[in-house]
Amino acid sequence: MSNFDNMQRVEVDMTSEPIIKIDNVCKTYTLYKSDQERFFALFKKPKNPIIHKALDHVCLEIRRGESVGLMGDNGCGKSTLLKTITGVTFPDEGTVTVNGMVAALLELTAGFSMDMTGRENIYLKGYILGLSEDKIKEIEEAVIDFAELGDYIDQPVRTYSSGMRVRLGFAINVNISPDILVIDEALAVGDAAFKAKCRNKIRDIMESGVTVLYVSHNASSVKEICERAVYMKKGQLLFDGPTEETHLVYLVDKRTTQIERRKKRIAQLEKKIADAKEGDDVRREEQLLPKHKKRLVQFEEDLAQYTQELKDYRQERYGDNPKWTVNKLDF
Amino acid sequence: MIIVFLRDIINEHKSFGKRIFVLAKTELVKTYKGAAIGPLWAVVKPAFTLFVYWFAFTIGIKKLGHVDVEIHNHVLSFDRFLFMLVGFIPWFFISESITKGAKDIRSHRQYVTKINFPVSTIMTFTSLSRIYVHLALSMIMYVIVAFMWGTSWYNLQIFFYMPLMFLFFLFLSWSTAPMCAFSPDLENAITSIMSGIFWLTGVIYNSYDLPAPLDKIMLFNPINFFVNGYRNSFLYNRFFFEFKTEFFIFLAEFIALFILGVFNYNRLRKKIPDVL
Repeated sequence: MSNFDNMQRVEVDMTSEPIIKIDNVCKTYTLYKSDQERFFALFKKPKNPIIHKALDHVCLEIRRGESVGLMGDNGCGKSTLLKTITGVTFPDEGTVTVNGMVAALLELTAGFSMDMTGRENIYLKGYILGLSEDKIKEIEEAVIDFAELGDYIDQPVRTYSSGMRVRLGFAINVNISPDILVIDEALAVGDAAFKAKCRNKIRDIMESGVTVLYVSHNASSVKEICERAVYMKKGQLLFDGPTEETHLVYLVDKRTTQIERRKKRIAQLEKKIADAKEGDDVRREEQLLPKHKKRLVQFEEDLAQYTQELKDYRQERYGDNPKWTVNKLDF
Repeated sequence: MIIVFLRDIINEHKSFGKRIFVLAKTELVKTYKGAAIGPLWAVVKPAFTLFVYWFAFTIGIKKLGHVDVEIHNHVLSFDRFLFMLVGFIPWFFISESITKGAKDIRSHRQYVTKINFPVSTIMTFTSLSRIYVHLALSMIMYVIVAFMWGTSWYNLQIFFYMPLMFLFFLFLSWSTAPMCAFSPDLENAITSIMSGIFWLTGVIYNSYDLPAPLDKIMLFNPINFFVNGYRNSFLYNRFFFEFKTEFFIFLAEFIALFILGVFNYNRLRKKIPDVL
């Protein structure tokens, strides 16, 4: 896990034009109640559609050479944000400007044709990603070498194991020399040796000044790779700052919500026990109550600790006048 | 408005340029890869279909060995096989284009939902791969026609009809493919009416030679325009503009389909990745 220690990061010019500019982007998904409704939506707008707000007025500017982590729980809009950056999906409002070629380590095997050989697939994938034939020829050897497929490179991809397919996909995506690299927990490729190789490759790419966007549930790997991170919740971008701080903010906010939820549950249980009439069975509630209380204490301790850590961090970093790019939280 | 809409499609194609042709080739390779006789299937399948119909009509129903067609007030008599052959060659392309064209986006869903890809080019390169097959079949047809009927300058009209046919069904897929991506219902509907469309088109019989008002109604079927157009070029020795009613009805349909296609594609393009 030490691949990213002592990494030579490139100097980021904060006055330059952003390479990715997300300006007040909103995105809603319409959830259709049935297949019939989806069919009729072809011709007219559905009457009372269920709407899921995936992105809610998100603003983000990323400059060339930066490495930015996205933090947040499942369903917070991270993937949708990445999809708008890679150009797969389109925002309802606002604009997304990307000044460069994006390579996404999201869907590594997307676009492969199972009946074609690995080598043919390098070309196919290259064309799909928008490369010229000369460019593909140039990277062909590097890709084959990196993927470690040996004689299998001239066999149909359907005969590959899933690990081999992912390796080939990874090799193509990192060798096309992108301007922006989007990584969605794709470092978990193949065995330990290959994993280390992938991490080294990503490190090399980052040292060459490529902008990196990284999504992971593993906070320590985000801290390792990214200097800056943003925290998203329910489609909103709540905090934008140094990775260390964002992680603490994330933990504080998470514990706060957990404590609220836990308190509500305890109140419910207590009410039920208090309202119980003669003969009602409340044994289960009585059993649960101490468990919840114990967790609550644990959370409160955590919260106090994280809050203190955050306070110390901020004191050390900013002194008395904090300056945040985005902070929609009241701590 | 239509110009603005069309600009998106043109830009998507511009950015892709030569790669469209490479992807069309890949599409062909994908279709026939893994089979021992590979691309020969592109010929075997239609040849067998043609044989079966010919067998049914000439051997089975003995009276139908010849077709009489009135052109320029002369009655020309064609061997049923030759007449059917020239009708079937465009039909194979048309039926493939309608059914597969509707599925284009759905069958290439990875290109739409996983990567940033100019979606309208999917229809173009799959159509191109189909026209390659069609071109090969047309050449075989031309050899047979040359031996059985002879050649003439009118044959060159194929270079008018073929690109027009390519465009017509490309424009059709601009409407059908995005709609089928939304809901498979349309796809099933198209597959189910295909054999009906076949019998409502003068592939096996002569669509001009029907009792009124059916012969007029048949002019509204654009597929007849192409089937009869191929016969104009190879059998009837007639120019495309000579039968004005047929030509102008087709032209109106062509323009309407084009506008509808551009409109539908642009209306649905941005929603497709979310529903596919």
